Amino acid sequence: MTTELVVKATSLVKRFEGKEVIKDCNMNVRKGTIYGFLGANGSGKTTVFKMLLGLLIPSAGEIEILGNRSSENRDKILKSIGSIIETPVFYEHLSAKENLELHLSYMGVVNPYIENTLELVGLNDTENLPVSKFSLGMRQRLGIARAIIHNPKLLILDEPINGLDPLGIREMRELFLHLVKNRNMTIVISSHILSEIEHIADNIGVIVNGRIVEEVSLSSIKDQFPEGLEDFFFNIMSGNGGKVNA
Amino acid sequence: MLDLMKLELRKTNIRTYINSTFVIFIVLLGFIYIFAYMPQVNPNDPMLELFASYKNIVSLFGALNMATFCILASVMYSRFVIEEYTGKRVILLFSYPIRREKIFVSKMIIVTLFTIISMIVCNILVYSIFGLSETFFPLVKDNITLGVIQKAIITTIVMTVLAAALSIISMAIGFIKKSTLTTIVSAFLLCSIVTNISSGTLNSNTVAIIVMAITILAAIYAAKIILKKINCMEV
Repeated sequence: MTTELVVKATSLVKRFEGKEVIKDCNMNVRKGTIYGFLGANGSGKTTVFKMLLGLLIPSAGEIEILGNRSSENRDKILKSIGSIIETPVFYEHLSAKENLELHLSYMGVVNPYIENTLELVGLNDTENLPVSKFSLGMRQRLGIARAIIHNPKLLILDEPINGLDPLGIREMRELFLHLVKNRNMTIVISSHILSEIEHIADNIGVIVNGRIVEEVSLSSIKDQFPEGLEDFFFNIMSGNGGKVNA
Repeated sequence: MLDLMKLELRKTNIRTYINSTFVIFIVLLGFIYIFAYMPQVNPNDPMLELFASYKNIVSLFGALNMATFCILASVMYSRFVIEEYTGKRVILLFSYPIRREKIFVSKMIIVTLFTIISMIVCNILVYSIFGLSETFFPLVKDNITLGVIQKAIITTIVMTVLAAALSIISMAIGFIKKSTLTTIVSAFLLCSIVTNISSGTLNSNTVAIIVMAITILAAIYAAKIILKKINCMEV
C-alpha cells in the first residue's frame, strides 16, 4: 500500500449564509484504498463530496486531488474523477448504452467497451430499454457504470448502494474491490449501511456536525472494537470520542 | 462548440420542436387567410379596412409570427436551460471537464439557430403559398408590389431577430426565478409589449429597427448576467 495521497483536504470550511456547515475538515485518502466516509444525516458528507468535485467552492481551506489544487485545475481533476452524488439522474428517453455514450463524449474519453461495463454492473440485458423504464436499483447500477466507464483514478460515491437489493449490494461490493485491485482506482464512499463499509473499507473517516473527528484504519478500529464498526460509530456519535490510536 | 451542440441535440428530442414548428406553420397559414378574408366579413366596418392592404397584413402577420416563435423558443429554453440548471441534472453537467460557459453558449446557439431557421422557413412557405393563391384567387383588393415583397422580407428579418432576442431575455428572467413557467410567461408578456409597439407603428421601419436594436442589447446583457451566474454557481 502506498502513502501517496489521492485526496488531501486541509482546513476545509464551508459557510452557507454565514452558517458554518463544514468546520476545519482535514481529509486524507491514500492511493489504492477504499475510504469509508461515515456520518449521520445532515452531518456534511455530501457537502464535502461536492467540494471535492468543485460543485461547491470552499469558504476556506485547500483541496488537492491527485496532486492538483482543485481551485486551479478543475477540468484536469474532473477528468480523473467518477462520481455519484445524491440520486443519479439520466436522460430518460435514452437507453443505458446511449446515456453512457453521451457521458463518454462529455468526458472526452473513447471507450469501445460500453457493453463490458454494463455487464460489470449487471445491466447487460437492458438493450434499447429507455432509462425511464428502469427500477431504482437499475438506475443505481447505471449510476455506478457511469462513474467508472471513463476509467477514473478516483471514485467519489455518495450512498451508491441505495435502492439495491442484498444481491446487488454484494455484487457492487465485489465490483468496488475489483476496481481498486485491478484497475488501480481509489474510492471514497459514504453509506448508511455500516456493515458494507466494514466489508470493503481500508480507512474510515467520521464526520460529526461538519467536522471530521476521526480518520483511522479499519484494522485499528477492529483491534479496539472487536464487535465491529457499528460500536465504533455509535461511540463517536454519542460523544464519547471513540478515539482510536491509528 | 459544434461537438457540444451535437451532444445537446442527442440529449433532447428535437423532433418535438420540429413537429411543433409544423403545427405553427399550419396555424399561421390559416391566420394569414383569416386576415385577408376579414374585410369581407363585414364590408361596412371601417375597422376591418386595416386588413385591406398587403403591407398591413404583413405587419400583423409578422407580429403574430414573432410572438408564436418567441414562445416556442422560451419553451425550448425551459427544457434546454432552465430544467437543466435548476434541477438535479446540473450536478452531472458541472461534473464534466468542460468550461461551464461553453455548455451554456452551445445551448443558446441551438435555440437561437432553431428559432431563426424555423421562423424563416415558415415565413417563406406561408408567404409563397399566400402569394401564389393571391395571384390566382385574390382575397385582398390590393396589388403585390415590390414594396410589399420588400416589406415582407424586412418584417421577417426584424421579427426573427426579435423572437430570438426576446426569448433570451425571458430565459434570463426564468433562470433568475428558477422557473420554467416564469420563462414562458415572461415571453408572453415581452411579446405583448413589443407586438403592441410594432402594431402601433405599422408602417415605420425606423421604429422596428430601434426596437430591434434595444432588444438585442438587452438580450446580450441578459445572457452575460446568466453566464456570470453559471460560472460562480454552486450546486
